[in-house]
Amino acid sequence: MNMYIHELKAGKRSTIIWTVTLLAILILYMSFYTMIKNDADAFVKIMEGVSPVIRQALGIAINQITSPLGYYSFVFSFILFLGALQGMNTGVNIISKEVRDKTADFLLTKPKTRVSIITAKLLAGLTCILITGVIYIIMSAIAMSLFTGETYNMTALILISTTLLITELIFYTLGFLTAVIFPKIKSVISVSLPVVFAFYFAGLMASITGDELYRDLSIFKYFNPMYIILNSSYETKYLMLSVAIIIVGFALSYVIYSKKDVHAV
Amino acid sequence: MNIFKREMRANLKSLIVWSLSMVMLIGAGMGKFSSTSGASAEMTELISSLPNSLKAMFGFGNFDLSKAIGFYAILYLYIIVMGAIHAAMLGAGIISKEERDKTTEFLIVKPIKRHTIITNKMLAAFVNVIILNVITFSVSYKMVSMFTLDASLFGQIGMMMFGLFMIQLIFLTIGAAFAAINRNSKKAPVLATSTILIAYFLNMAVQLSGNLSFLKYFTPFQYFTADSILNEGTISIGYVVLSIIIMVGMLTVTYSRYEKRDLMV
Repeated sequence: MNMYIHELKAGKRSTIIWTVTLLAILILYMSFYTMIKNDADAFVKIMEGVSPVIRQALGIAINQITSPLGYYSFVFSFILFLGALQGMNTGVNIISKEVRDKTADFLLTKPKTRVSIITAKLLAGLTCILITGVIYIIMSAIAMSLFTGETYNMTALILISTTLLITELIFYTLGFLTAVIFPKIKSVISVSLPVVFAFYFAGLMASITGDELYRDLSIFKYFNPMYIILNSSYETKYLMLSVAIIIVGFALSYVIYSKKDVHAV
Repeated sequence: MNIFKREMRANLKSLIVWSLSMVMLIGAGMGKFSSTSGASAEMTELISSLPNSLKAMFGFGNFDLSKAIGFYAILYLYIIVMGAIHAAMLGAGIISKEERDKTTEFLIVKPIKRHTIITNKMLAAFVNVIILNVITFSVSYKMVSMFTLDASLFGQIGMMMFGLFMIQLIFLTIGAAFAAINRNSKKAPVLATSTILIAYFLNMAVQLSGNLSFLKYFTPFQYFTADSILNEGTISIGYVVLSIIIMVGMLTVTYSRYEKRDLMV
């Protein structure tokens, strides 16, 4: 319990900063909605001269992306990137800091099992991410009503916003596992940023090319907002895949951490 | 000179990893290009008349996606973000690592002036940045010219790489300045990468909203856009001057602060 509280205190500042950042991006980008909607409406009017086939194709695309949920999904893709970074950072940091700050021998000589140490750390990080996730979900609903003023499918919104939490958890697991495997991580951000960026780029390629392989690789594309808007549910395959990654990741972390050599000063 | 050599060797591994990632990014991106993927002429024309905010949302900007260079232009933003991350972490790390690894004392008691140390370190970082740039240049040119061989291609990619180079130097000096200012060696890489994220999100905000265009001076990603290089065919001298002012300013901060600051041993 002491360890859990200690880790929560240590993570308080960064959790606050991350939550505020996510909300700031949400509010800044959502505030453009009315303007973009007007741009789009004006453009759809101009389009009347062109051939019906093209007008229809582009018209549907524009309507989709400038509907309240469509625009929110666009904004959400940036939020997801930051969230993934928070998750990865939290996971890498919570494990690697003991060795980096030379406090590993202090902690590991306490009459505590490795399992209880890693459990306390795991839960503390999880708590931080849950707090961010829940605040974000509530704020996303408020921001939607505030900036769009139109009716939308509330269930779909909540489902989309919840994928932030799931994505954060996946990256938290990855970060946790990374820090357990690599004995000495000198700088957290220089590990987490390139990893998250790589996944983000794979996601970009997935959406440009529509390639299934890219999609399985890119965690960012596991939950397609358009699918959620249409079906008000997640794709089962990717929900299972996410849960599997999280469970396997934590199980591996437990096994490795209980046995590994930890270098004292 | 010894410091320069030492830093070159110390950064060799990370330079190789970054270069490989850059090659992979360009390779994976351009590998997906096929000239048939572009829309019909009428569609292209219509798309080019879309309001800027919608273009930004659809993600294809002002480019002709049926041409290899248009496809490459979409990748360009990710290339400069990668270049910026590499440069910022290099700049921050090369100065702050002595304090992080507790080697400051060893270095600073050598009969070398502090500004000589900085000069050598910055030179090594500079060479690293140039190498990454040259590799990016050659791979980009190779990949794009595989699809189209146009006389203007070398000039276009050359200008984009000049833009990349400016961005790299801006973030290299920003990273170094953060490291020179901060007594806490852990903060420099975090602050440097946060600057990149802020610049990236500002860049998107500028593209989305018409009335925030004054903010473009605050995000280097707006200084040398593929849009202005390909569609206007020039690099704005004003932004080059602004970039140089930022670099000189940051270098001045780096030298003057590191010269006077109490170093953590």
